[in-house]
Amino acid sequence: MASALHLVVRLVHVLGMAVLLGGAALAWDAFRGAGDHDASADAPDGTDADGNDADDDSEGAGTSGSGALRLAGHYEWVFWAAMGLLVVTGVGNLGALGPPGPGTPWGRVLTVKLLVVTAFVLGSFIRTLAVVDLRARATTGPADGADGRRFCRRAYAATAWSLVAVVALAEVLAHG
Amino acid sequence: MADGEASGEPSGGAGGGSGGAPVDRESADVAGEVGTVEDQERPARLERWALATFAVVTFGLVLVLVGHLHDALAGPLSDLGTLPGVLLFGYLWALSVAGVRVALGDGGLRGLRAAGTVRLLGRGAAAGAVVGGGFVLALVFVVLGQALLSGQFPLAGLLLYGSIGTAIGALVGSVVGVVFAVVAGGFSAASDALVEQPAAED
Repeated sequence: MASALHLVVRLVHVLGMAVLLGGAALAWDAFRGAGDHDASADAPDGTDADGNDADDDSEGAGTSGSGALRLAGHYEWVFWAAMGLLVVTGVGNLGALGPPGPGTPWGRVLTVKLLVVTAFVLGSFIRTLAVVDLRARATTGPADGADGRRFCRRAYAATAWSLVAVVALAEVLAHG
Repeated sequence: MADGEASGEPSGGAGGGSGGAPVDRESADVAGEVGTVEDQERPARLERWALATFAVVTFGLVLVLVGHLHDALAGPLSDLGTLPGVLLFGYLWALSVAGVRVALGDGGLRGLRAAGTVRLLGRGAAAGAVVGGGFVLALVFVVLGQALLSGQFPLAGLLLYGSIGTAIGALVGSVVGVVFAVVAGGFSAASDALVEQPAAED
């Protein structure tokens, strides 16, 4: 029973990280595809200046700014849910394996991982607040500007690479 | 698509509006959004969800980090167990969501910042007190349940210690709430600056 529970805890932990990293890469790619495309240049009938569907990325030309922002909004909901699950299952893993002393090599890696994750959470909250602000502007006024999309592109790139670093630290903890 | 729009002419109604202007329905539609009240409420709900989870996740991480650095994690973690630990965290998370909902109200973080520092810190303290007091109160009920199952009924003792414990929990929670109000207010200002100031080209 206990080992089955720990297996579930580890499964949720790994799946949570997969969702975070995959979603961040997806959002980054969406904002890269949106480039500096100004959604306000789209026609009121939902087509862009070339007559294509403003949100249609099926032609490999990328997502519109509004489509990328909508995707980012959905990702932020999932991000924080997954983040909560990751922390609680991470602590569960620590309890199951037995926490190392802070002076041991394993303990030092754990210290670094906890510091990196804490810094990552702090940075992610700023990113989420920016997305909230851009989403609010998009629903009550003109579409978000190129500066907002540029910020999102960089923020999701930083999120994805930070998560890669956290995964690397987790791998060292698990197998190092 | 990104390259193609560079030559497109902006449609007349889409440019130049300010954030404080009434809902520009046309440009909202152009942006792929329908400016209904429901749509406008969505970012506010995301802000509440993110702040509540941010608070409980950061609080948990700091506790674990401090416990680890003092080599004091092994005992509490093994005493608590996996399932009770998950339930406890889930309860704290739910309390945090409720507390943030009360604290932010309809104005969101930006509205609280605009209302002044005292209001921001006061709401943070109130939300923290709700979370801290509610957390200890739940523990009191758990102890009461265990006592009832074992055939005891320590009502007087539970009332006394439960009241004192809940008050202490509310006090500690209000201090933590003030800290998170300061952090959230600062981060909200930082995100405003990051999004509104033109960034350099890649």
